Amino acid sequence: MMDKKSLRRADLITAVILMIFGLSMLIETLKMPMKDTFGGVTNVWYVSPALFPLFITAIITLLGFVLLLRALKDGGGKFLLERIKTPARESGEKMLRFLAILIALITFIYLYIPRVDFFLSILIFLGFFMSVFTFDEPSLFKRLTVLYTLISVFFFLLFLSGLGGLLIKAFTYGTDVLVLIAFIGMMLFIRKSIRSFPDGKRNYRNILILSIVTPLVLCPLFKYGLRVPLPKEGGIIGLMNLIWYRIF
Amino acid sequence: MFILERIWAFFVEVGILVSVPRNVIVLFFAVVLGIVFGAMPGLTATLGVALLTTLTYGMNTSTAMIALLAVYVGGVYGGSYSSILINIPGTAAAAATALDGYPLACQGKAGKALGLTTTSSAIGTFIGMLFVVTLSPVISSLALQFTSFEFFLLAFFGILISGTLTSPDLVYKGWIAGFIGLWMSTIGRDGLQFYPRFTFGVANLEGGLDIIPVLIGAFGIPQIIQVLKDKFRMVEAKKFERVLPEFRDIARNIPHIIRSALIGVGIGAVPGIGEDIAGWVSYGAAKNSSKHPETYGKGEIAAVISSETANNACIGGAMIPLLSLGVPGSPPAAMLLGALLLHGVQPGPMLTFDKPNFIMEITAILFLSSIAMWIAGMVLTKQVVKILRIPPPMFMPIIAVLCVIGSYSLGLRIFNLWLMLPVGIIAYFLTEMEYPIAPLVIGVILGPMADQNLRRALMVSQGSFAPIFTRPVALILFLVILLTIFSQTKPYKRVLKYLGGKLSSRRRR
Repeated sequence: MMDKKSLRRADLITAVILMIFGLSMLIETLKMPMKDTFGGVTNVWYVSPALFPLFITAIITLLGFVLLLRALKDGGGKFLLERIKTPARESGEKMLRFLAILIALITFIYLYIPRVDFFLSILIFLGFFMSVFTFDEPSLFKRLTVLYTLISVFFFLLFLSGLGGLLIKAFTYGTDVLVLIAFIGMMLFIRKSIRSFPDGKRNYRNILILSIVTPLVLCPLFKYGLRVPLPKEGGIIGLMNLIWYRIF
Repeated sequence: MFILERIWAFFVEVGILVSVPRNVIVLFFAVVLGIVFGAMPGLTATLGVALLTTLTYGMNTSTAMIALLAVYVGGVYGGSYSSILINIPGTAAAAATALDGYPLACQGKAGKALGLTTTSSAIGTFIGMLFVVTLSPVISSLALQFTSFEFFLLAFFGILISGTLTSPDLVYKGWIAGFIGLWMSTIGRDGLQFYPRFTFGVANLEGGLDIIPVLIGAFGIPQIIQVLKDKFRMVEAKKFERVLPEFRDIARNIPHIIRSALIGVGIGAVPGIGEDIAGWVSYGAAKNSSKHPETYGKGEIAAVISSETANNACIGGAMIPLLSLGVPGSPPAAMLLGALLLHGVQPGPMLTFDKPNFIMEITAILFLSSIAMWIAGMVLTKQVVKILRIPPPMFMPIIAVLCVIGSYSLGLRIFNLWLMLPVGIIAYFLTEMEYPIAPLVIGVILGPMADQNLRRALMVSQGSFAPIFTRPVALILFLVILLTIFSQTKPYKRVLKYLGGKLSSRRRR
């Protein structure tokens, strides 16, 4: 949570954002049919699809304005000017931790899940996410975050350039194999880096087990138990299918 | 005679539910899962209900409700474990419990405190259940008199009151969160004319935002970020021996239990207000009524009993508006509403006609959940406490995976994941700036109800707002809304201050 000064400063900025957002949505609402004909239906104002959004966006704008007045009254403007004149250094460590969380979640959701076998997506995500926060040593934290980011950038460029598609054409599970290699490489790097850590070996073993067991439990549970087709079924899920349908 | 018939029907329902072995297994599994979720700092009952909703998709409605209500009951109770043993509330609902629970543990009475909280939580859930079975049908039959104007005003009131009471900073922030939620609910093609609103040409937005990813994002992602960013560390849990409480301890605290249960039910019935507020209010009431308020905060048994009874009784309270009006009484109840809709159950006044047995079934499930919770609490306490040793960096990433798969599997759309993350990040920043998240979620849920009923009401009245002033319930709701808004203005506060001054000077004379 923020202290009062930071809170009022944030309120001031939020109020401006809210007013801009409210007004732009209000303008968007005004483009909706109010009394015109849409889809063969002649509108009257009270059945217009714009009626409720008009009410909501107007109130959001108004509340943004009220918040702005309150923030100004409580010294938000003064605190903001102070901050602009003497920019305070945010806790670098907290910012780095926040960035690491965002990188892990964004790459997992936007990069790996839509393109890589779901089992492997979870594997690489958990391998990084658990390790970086479990060992929690500043130097390793930075190195591991950079390594994972570089791996993710590599895959991003691979898919963006179309090389990923070519690779899949040449070998159906090509990208899956690359992700698996990246995961093994990352885990070997972690293993090498944590040799001197107290409890390092035990934690490493736990992370490795959990990274493998979690998708090993979740994927069959959802795929065969709940009959949910997984977002991307590649090499590992294919192998699971082979085993499952052979047995059952 | 009618009461006897109802009691008979209740026990028949209980018998039907427990006659299916699968239900019993699900009941105990979900209760233990709820306790684990409640006990782990950073995980909440709401998140437990949210994540379990996905797994109930393939179940029949009865079994699904058993799973969800049991995880809700277990989750609210489970928070007391970490409050008492490590002085870190597992959930916000158990924050008041930590004040006296941890000092009790330091005095070597952790087992006694846990036994008493387990029993009082079970009694609290049971009393809440009694109110569900008695009040829900009454409110439902009253709500049958409601027209679209009343429903629009009710939805609006729900968002406003939830924003007012849950905001940790300025009240406007709660309202802003609520209205952002309402705006989010308008995204997609509107229900009456099929006109695309705020879709900006994105085909995936045409069907509107799926509720579950929004809820999981809003409640799950901020928790993950907060716990991992703030370097949350577990401490060694206090040791304890016997958990089973002595009857005389319970008997001595019956007045506290009854008062706290009533507070819990009352607070739970107010839309959007959760178990945390019930726990605090009950704690305050117990302290104010005590002959020795100085013992509070130093290991007072009555304090622990009061907060734990209230937060569990709140579950029953939260179910009353949910079942009878379709308005969730607390954040986990908001999740339950999403789950009910998923299973084709439309809560509200028509529920008693569509599914005449449903309220009784929910009551029976609450009863069974409180029993299962008590048994699990007595038998498994020592085992459950072991999970407090798992470091958050190990379990939070797994929760993130569960959030992802939970958001995806209900609609089978990757777009839901792309939606969940931004919603979660925005919710995180809003939480940091002390905006409550419950009104936002309630706004998303009640938005369609407010929108459709406003337009329907105006269609019937040919664009006239006069029915608001001619219909008594609508007028009362309208006046309460106005009062809620004006209570935050300066003139109102000045009048209140003036009246207060007059009153005190008259007393002095």
